[in-house]
Amino acid sequence: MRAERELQSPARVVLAVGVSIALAAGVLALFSQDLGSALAQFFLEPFSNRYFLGNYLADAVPLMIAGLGVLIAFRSKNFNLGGEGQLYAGALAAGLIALRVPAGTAPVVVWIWVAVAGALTGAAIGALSGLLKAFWRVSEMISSFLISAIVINVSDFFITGPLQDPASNFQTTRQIVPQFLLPRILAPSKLDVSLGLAIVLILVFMVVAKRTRVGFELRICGENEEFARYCGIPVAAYQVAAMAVSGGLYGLAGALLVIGPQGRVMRGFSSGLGWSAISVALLAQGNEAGVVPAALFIAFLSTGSDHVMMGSGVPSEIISILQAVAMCFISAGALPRFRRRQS
Amino acid sequence: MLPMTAVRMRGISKRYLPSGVHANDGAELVVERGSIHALVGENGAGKTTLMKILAGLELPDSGDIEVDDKPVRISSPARARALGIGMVHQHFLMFDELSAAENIFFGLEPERRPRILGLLGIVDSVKLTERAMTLAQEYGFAVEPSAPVGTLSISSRQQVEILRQLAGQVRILILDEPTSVLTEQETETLFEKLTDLRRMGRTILLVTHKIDEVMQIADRVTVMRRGKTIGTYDTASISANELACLIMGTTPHGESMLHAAPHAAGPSVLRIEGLSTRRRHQGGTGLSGLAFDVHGGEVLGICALSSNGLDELEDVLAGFLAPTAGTCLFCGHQFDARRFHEYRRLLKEGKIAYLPSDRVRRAVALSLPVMDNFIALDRRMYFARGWIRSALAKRATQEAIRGFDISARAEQTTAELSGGNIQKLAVARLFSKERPELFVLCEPTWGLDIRSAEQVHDRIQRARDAGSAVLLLSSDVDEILRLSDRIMVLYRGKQVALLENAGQVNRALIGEYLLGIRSA
Repeated sequence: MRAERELQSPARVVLAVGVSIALAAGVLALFSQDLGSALAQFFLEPFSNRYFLGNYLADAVPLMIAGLGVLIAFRSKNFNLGGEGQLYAGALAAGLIALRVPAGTAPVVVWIWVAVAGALTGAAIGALSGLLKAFWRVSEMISSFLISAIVINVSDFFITGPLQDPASNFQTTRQIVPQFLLPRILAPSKLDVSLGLAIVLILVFMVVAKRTRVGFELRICGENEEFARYCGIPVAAYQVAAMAVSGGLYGLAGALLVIGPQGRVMRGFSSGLGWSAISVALLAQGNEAGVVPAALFIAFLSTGSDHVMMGSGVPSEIISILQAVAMCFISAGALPRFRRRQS
Repeated sequence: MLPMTAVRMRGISKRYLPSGVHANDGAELVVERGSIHALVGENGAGKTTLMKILAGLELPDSGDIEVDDKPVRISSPARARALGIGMVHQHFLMFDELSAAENIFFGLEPERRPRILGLLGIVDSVKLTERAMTLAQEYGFAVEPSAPVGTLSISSRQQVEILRQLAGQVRILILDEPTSVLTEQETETLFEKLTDLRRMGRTILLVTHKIDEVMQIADRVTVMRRGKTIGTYDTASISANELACLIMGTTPHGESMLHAAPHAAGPSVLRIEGLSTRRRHQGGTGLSGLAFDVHGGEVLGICALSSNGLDELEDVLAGFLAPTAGTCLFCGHQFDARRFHEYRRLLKEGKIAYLPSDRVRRAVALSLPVMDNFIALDRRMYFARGWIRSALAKRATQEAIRGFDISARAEQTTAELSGGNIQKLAVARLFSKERPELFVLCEPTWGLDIRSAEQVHDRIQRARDAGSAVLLLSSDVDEILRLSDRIMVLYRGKQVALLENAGQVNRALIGEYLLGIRSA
């Protein structure tokens, strides 16, 4: 009986993915004049040349990093809904450093500083929700979401106030000098070396989860808190740590975007990345290795629909609706596994 | 004119499917109109199941029920209510946010507001409160009808539950362990009310395992054991001791005193004085002023019926519940209730090995593989500098599986194991560790078949003989008698006996202490 359900779980994910693709095709059929070319734009164009492929992969990288963070929080049964805020906080910290360092600094040093600062800022915000839960039983879902709402506004204030680029018509900071940006691969696309970092991070987290005491204890905390206490595992510490790691990876994703594709901190640049990362974690089904295909799929949904929007003139609202409905299917398909664990 | 017999249940059998346990096995019950009838028996004797069948909450697999001499089929609580049968549960089923009056009349014809508001289902709360007040006065209950139920004391909430049944014209009122949540004064008040209700012609069925209460208030008493009815007796013609013997039964395994080998008790390992706690949950009993010690090479058996403080004692010894008062001396470390975290550290360091009574919630993580559960307690051994030693972990798990005859594979998800095998896994895990100073074993053979239970008993004795101190918390009197060198009995959170397990100590004597009819 139970084994059956375990088998069902991947099947559900495949079904969710299939349904959302079918749905996308259906919407295209309704709203595009030329269905054949719309389908080609959606399914094939992102892979058709070096530039498109690079941009598509570049969109998947932050999803991998942030999705990994959500997954770690899930594993300890914490739902981090504050991704957007953690992302912006990490980005702002990254921007502050990259814009202020003296021009002669070695780029590698700048990259490391930026990554560490972004991760630590995000981690501090995530840890705050963890602490609120561990000591005052405040739901981490609510606190992370609300804290995020505050952080986004604070970061908007800095971007449009003290850090606003006076020469730009956009609400953005100045451009970061090119030598401090991450080296590109697959030029002229915006893909950079952070792809490698994302893969390495996923591998590291896989090993930690499978082979180390920390990963083992975190899993026990998530599976049965009372059992964890019986084993003498410091449950509260793991709660805080899991939220901190989760926030830290969001912050890192934000920081890498700033010294990568974005090259500056722009108001609203995440465009829902914090939420998409949750879908990535759900699709990955609690498995680090699953984060890569999950991120590639979610990025494909948005890239493919962007191509259709530009190529076939399907209105952007329709594309947004398409993406939202696809997300609904994915969440519905992937979520029961987590709900069951929680009960 | 109504017949004299209010309820007649014949040949009632009920089997709970997942476990296959016969909760009722041909149980019989005859209750006279206008009497207080007690239903007594050990934990798991089938009292509550029989009453749930009468109240329409469970369907029997077989058997006949007659109410007022008419054969009936009680298919739902609504049907039971139509027959005038109502049950007050051990854990009240009420809406905490609603007022007492709203709870009392919930589901009955409501006092609607006139015209449109009434059609919309808006209830006239003033009229409702008045009605509740009248009802409470009629039966002499002191309940504030407009107060939200969540703010009332436990005994007031119980009164609201009883009034709720009375408002529904209940003539046969079932109370499941009503006094387990009450203080002694509150119990007295409840009994006065029940006596009043009997005078008004209601029939009362009282499920309990407290003999003194039966002797005090009931007219007749039916004894159940292992799902069967042993007999029904007039309380006027039976003594408390005879009743205790009937409840406990003659010892089914004979007087097996396995522990008989004389032993030399070593130095004191754990000494506890003045231990008091709050209650762990509604229906529990806080401990008050426990004092005992346990020596190396000794088994101290601690025995109590449910809701008499055994859960609370377990939680203190397990580090889950901080005591409100008391001092503890463990192998030379002394500390008091305020420094309870030091006790937790001892547990963590493995000086105390603890086997939880709740295996599913506390002893394992069901969703993890057997091996993960096996190594979880002794992580210092199975992780070297933070990295797992998988070969060692796997070998140890497989050894334990063989040694304790557990039907499982190391990689299998623990949820797929039967309750007995999960228990064996938890026991095997505990005894695979280095010898700790103290074992705290709670219901160690619960759910095990006889052979596995003997195996566990054998391990406990070997641990004792190797010099460990053993605290055995169990509600199974046979197990306590079999293994303990000394026996302590808890009743309503107090220790009522601390005896050497010598010749004159037997099941009947322990039973009298357990049931509160004898105290030291």
